[in-house]
Amino acid sequence: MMLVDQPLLGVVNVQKSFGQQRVVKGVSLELAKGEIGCLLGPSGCGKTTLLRIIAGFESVQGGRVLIGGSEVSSLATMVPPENRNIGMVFQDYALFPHLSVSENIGFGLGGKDVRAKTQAIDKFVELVGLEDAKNAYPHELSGGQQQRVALARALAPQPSLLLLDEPFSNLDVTLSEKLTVEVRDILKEAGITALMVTHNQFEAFAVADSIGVIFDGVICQWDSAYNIYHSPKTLDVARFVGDGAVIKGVVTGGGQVSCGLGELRGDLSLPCENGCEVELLVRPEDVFHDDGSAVVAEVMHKSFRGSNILYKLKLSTSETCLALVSSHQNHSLGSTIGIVADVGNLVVFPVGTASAGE
Amino acid sequence: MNVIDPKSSKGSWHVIVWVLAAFVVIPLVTIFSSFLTPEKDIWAHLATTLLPELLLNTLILVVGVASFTAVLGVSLGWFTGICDFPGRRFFSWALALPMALPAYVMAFIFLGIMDFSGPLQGFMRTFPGLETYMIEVRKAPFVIIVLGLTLYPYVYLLSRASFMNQGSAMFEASRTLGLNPTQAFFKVALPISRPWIVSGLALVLMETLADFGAVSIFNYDTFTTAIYKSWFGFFSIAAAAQLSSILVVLAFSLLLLEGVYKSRMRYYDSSRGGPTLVRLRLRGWRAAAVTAYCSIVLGVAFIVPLGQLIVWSVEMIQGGEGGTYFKYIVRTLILGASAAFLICCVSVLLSYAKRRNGSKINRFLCRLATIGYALPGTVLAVGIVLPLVWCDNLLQQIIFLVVHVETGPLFQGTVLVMLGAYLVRFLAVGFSSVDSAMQNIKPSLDEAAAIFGKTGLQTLTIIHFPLLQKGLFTALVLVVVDVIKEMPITLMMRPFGWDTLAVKIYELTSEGEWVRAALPGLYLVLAGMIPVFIFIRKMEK
Repeated sequence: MMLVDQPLLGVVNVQKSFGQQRVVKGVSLELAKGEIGCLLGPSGCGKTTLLRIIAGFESVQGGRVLIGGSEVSSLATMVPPENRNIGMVFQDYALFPHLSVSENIGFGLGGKDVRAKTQAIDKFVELVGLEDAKNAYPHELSGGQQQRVALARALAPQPSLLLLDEPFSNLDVTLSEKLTVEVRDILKEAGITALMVTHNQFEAFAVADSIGVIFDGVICQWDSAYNIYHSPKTLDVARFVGDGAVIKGVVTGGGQVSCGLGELRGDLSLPCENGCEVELLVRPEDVFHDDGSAVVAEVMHKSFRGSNILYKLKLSTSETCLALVSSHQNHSLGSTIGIVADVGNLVVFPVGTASAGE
Repeated sequence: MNVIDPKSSKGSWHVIVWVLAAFVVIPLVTIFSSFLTPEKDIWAHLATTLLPELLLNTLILVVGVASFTAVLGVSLGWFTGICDFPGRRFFSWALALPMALPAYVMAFIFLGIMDFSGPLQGFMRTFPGLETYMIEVRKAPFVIIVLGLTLYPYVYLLSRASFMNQGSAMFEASRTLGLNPTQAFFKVALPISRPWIVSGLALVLMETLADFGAVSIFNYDTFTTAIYKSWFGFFSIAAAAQLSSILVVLAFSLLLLEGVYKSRMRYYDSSRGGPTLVRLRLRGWRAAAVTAYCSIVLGVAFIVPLGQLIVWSVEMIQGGEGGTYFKYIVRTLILGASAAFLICCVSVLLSYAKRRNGSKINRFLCRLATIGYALPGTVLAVGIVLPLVWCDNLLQQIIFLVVHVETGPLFQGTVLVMLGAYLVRFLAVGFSSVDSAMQNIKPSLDEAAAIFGKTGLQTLTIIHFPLLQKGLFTALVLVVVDVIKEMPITLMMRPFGWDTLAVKIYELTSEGEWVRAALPGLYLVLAGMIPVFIFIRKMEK
């Protein structure tokens, strides 16, 4: 029988302003031991400030931060970063240029026992697969290798919490796709609790167990990647995460919405009365080509993506939506095609709730 | 920057670089050859009499000035670069101001204040019992303090730039790895800045070895004063050459040290696309202590000396001696302006030649041509006069053989030779600002001009020259000020009647006339502040 576990990281109603500008407006979140969380949001949304508050580089102006159950930040306490037992991977890695790879990795290892230290270093060099580059200096490494050194250096002192600040933003797309998977495996193998900050949803999807979408200093939704994508709680989240269109509609019955795509049936995400005007999220993969359909749309733009084509379509209501279809169905620009929308869950929002994100 | 232009011959530009490099190399070769061909009698004499003392004095000076400037420069660089405290913005530029004070001006002000008849000891004598604690000021520690206070800005500016360039990421990374701020400074920030700090120290020590004015005011014998004395006191230019050869070896080892650490800088330059810097905000007594520390350094190194200079100058002007120095000012400015014009022309040619033909050998020759900044003025004077005497003699014999006329020396003791010496010594100053302006001009402009059929010289006059104006102006100002402040070359090579302000200061201070030296000193300091302000403006950008 396990007792109810205390969360490893607790952020309770944290507030922070720089001058007149409120950057973090009462954020709360929790991470269980071994959980990987991610703060996802556009630049300037306050996510990096929140991370720096947790690390102890910034003070709070309200609320508290708890690591392993003990308070590290509040109006009354401010534990310095070196006493928080955290590790951090910086956006530009911040590798020490005057130290070799193994010296960098061993930097945070205390103790006088040289042999134990060497063993620990070797273990982490191996964990990130840099056995061949052990004695190299940071300027001799590629971007991906530097990233791995930064990760190993942060993990080596076995911190209770690992913070990652945009760890993949300095890498090209192919490399960062590969590394996100690798990093998740390494973190899971180490069983470490981690919080990552990124503006890139694919990195968030690939690494995190739970994602907090943050806009303008507020976490709008804290959820799994699946739910963030398929059941966004606000219009901002819906627009920021994934492709898709938001079109106007009217609820015409239980589980039925009338809109530019015709009459759609499914489970409404909000309880709505008949005649209620809503905004409806339509993902590109929900829209199919069907010559027999009564609903037609004009092809405005298309981008060929190999296995499929992403069409931008103009509906009869002059609204636009996206359709992701097999690339065998090649329609020319300006042509009119029949389409059908198959939406299982009708993700709707009350009209006029968008505040940011566009 | 290699510009391909098949129309022009690269050869002619090559020649310019070779000639200019040879000009610098001749004095160097002269000095080195006297190092390689030691004259036994002179060495035996030097070794028993002068040399042990000179080496010891130089060692004390080098170690002392290096430690003093390192502590001052690095600590001030850290506080103003990374921390935040009341007055930080002001101090970050104001602490560069002591660069405007030539060391010899600082030296005579210091002596004037500490002298038996000066204000400090006069004040002490008003307390009975204190008069026995007379300060013996002509001692190594005071020479070290004076040189250190005028030279620390080199270390300060370079270490500050390096700390700021590191940004806060390295520092913060070491905090997350368990280091407190003090440990992070010593284990991370300081080692990463080492190339910059060592380069700054190398410059400081080159200036220390080259210093002639300050040490002669303190009667503290070093190689520079010994070279001067053996030439003008004992009339042995051979002994002067032997002493010069030792000094030049010392100076070039520093140059080598600087080169090695400079090449390491780019590896340590880890910031990508502008580092973020979150300043360490100091509070309470720490903030007060740092503000006090900066104020004391600025006060002792700049405000008090400048104030004393002004007080003495006012005394002089009230005594009716205000106009005495007018003719010296005119001569100093004539010399400065001619040297600056010459150096700017040569810099443009050299920089353009390098641009036209950026081969390895040409870049090496450019480096060689600008190496004169490492040569102490006294050494340079010896290195130029020795081959010149030989040339002059040869020329006289030829003329005598051909036309049977005794001409006497043709070049020795002319302003032309002095300008040549300035060219060697200060070419680096002009060249670096002209060359960086030249490198800012895109190579495609040259190609565009070539497509329109312009020759190399046409391109230089209609394209580069207008674009170089700002860089040329900076070069002119820097060289003029450097020539104005220059002491040993002018002292040793000036033709009769060409006394400059610096020479006048030397004469007055060697007679202990501190107060009368104040007015020319003040002129020099005011002139010296111009390049400092140019530099500060660049720094603030």
